[in-house]
This record gives sequence, structure tokens and C-alpha cells, in this order.
Amino acid sequence: MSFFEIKKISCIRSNKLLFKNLNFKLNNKELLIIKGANGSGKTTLLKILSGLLKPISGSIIVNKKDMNLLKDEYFKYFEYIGHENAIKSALTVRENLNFYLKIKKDLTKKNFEKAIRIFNLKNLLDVKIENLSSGEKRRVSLSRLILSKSKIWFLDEPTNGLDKINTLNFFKILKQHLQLNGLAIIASHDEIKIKSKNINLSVN
Amino acid sequence: MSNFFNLIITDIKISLRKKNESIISILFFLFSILILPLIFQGDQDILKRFLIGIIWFLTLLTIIFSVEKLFENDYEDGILDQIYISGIPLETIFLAKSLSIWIITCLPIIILSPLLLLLFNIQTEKLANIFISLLIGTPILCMIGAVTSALVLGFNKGSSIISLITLPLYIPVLIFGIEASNSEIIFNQIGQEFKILIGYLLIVVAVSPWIGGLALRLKYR
Repeated sequence: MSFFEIKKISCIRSNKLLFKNLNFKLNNKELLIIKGANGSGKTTLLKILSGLLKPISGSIIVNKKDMNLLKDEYFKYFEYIGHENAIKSALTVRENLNFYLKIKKDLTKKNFEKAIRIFNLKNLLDVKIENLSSGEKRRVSLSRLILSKSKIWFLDEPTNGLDKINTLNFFKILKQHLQLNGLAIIASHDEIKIKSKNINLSVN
Repeated sequence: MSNFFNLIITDIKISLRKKNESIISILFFLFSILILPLIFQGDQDILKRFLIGIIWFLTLLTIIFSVEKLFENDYEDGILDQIYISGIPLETIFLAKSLSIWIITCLPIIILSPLLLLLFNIQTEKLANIFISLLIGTPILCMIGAVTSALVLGFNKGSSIISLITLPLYIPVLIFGIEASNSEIIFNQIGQEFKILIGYLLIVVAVSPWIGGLALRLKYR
């Protein structure tokens, strides 16, 4: 039995069928890359997996339990980094990370220094988000992954706006996460040089 | 409970940082009151008769403008999604956002209003009345506004119709708020108007978190 499985997931948004009877299984140490053209439903699929949208049919099984039965427990299994960075522009980098450390129980302060080091945020800690570039904002958003204890990562275009060095840093932490029995599902247009399963969503 | 206070403290911190945005609604309120002598051409009697009503009406306008995008900005930035998947109940999120907008927008108005009455030489016994009636009435206005804002977010279409539908809910607060502010004695015996306002407040506090939470949940379906 796989740790994470989706069965016959179908989704209609704005009267448009995005995907029908989608199935996949993912085990520990496995990476799934969702590919597809703009509007094919990559973000929608990730939002469904994160519980932010409801599919019209199908089920999501994690650790042998149905997502609907787990209710809020389900949220503890994953960390979701969406298309938006989900950071408050009037707050500093430190205040944003502290905000999430306070409200999200799956985040731990233990790895705060590590997150800052990996994403080169030391000099930006007390800078307001509104004064950062788009790449720097993405780094702040991705640093939550280091703080997270969650087993599954759902990531929507994680390398958007990142430079070469930080993209490589991201792949490094992704590999480490997978080696530590983690799972990841990523929607990306970029080439990710890590052994992975792939699904292609097509525009209907 | 700690999450509830964390959300409120963060919102207040942001509004203090965005001084221009948060101060503009208070300036709108103050400026509108201070130009009244010009509108009434210095006629003190008319001004005194209508001042309390105008304060209540401007309070309502200030609240409507402030709560309009109470949830929308956080939703568009992806922050509401993250708060939602952190497992905090949507009802708690709704209550925290409503309370923070009340602290940011209404507390200054509640404190300033008696001082404005003093400035216009209104009987001093009415100062306590307006202070207490605003203290009871403004949370009702904020929560109705927050429900509207949540409904607008929940239903993608027809936002202007939703705003119009909820508009009549504000009117009892205005009627009884103005009556309570103008009533004679409140310390010896609580007036009927105050009792009705308190009753309305209790109903809104009991019901609105569920409606607000339900409206936000529509966004996640």
C-alpha cells in the first residue's frame, strides 16, 4: 500500500473539465512532477491535494486513511507552497517566519538558522517583504520547507523567480527531503534532474 | 486561543506599519465632522440636533470602507490558504479578523466621538451615552461588514448584490444607536435603546462567526 494515493479524481472549474479519473500512487522517497500547458489544471490539482479545493469525485488516501475522514488531521501531513508566496508585505522576513511558526504546528523553530542559511536570508531578516525582489520573496516562502516537519511537500512552480544558485539550493533540499523518506509533488515547467514519476495534464 | 490572538496581533502590527492606509479612514471621519460648521453655516442649533446622527452615519461609512476587502487581500496573497491549512477553524479566522478591524477602525472613533461632542458644546451627559452606544454598536457594524466581505469572497459573482442585501442589517444599529446616544440618563436605569442594542450585539456575536465561517468555506469547495 502506498503512503499517498489519489483515486479517480475529477475536476470541473468554470464549467470546464480539467481532468477526469486521475490516479496515482506515491511511496516514501518518491517525487511526482505534474507537467502541462497553462490552464491544464496543475495548480488546481495541487490545491485539491492540499484540501483547498474539492474535486467533483474521487478520493485521496494518505497513510491508509481517507482525507475526508482525517479532516484537519490531514493538514499535518503536508507543507504547501502555492503560486503566491503567502507572505505579508508590511512585515519583515523574520516576522513572517515567526508568524508561520506560531500558527502552523508542523513548523519547528529548531531549523530556523538552517533555513536562513540555505536560502541566504541572513542579511534580509529585518527587511520588509515589500522591499524584496521577487526571487528573494520566493526564497522566504520556500524557507518554510526547512522549518516544516511534514512528510509531503506540495509545491507549485517552486523555482519561479529563483536564480541559478538558489535553484540548485532548492534541488539540494528537495533531494535531502526525499532521502529522509519524504514525498513531493511538484507542478513545474522547469527540468528537474531528480528521478521522478511524471503526469501530464492536457488542456481540454 | 493563542492562534486567535496571534492573528489579531499580526493584523494590528500590519495596520500600524501601513500608517497611510489605516489613518485615512480616521482622517475621513474627523475631517467630515470638522467641516460640518461650514455646511450648516455656523447654525449651532441644527448642528447640535444632527451631530450625533452624522457621527453614527460616518462611523457606518468608515466601517463599510474598511471591511470591504477584509478577507480578499489575504486570499489573493495566498495567506488565507496557509492560515486555513494550518488547521485554524474558519470561524476563528473570521472572529479574529472582525475583532482586529474593530480595534483598528472603531476604537479611535469611539474615543474621538465624545471629544468631538465636547468641541461642539454638546451637553456633557451625552458624552458617556455616545461612548457607550458606540462601544456596543460598532462591533455589530463590524461583524455585519465582515460577514458581507466573507460572502463576497465566497461567491465569486454578484458581490454588489450581496453588499446591497446586507445593507438593511445595519439600519437597526443606526436607529437604536442614535436613540441611545440621545437618551437622557443611562446610569440610574438602562434605556430601552441600550437593551435593544445589547440584544442585537449578542445575536450578531453568536450567529455571525458561523455565517462568516460558512461563507469562507464556500471558497474552499
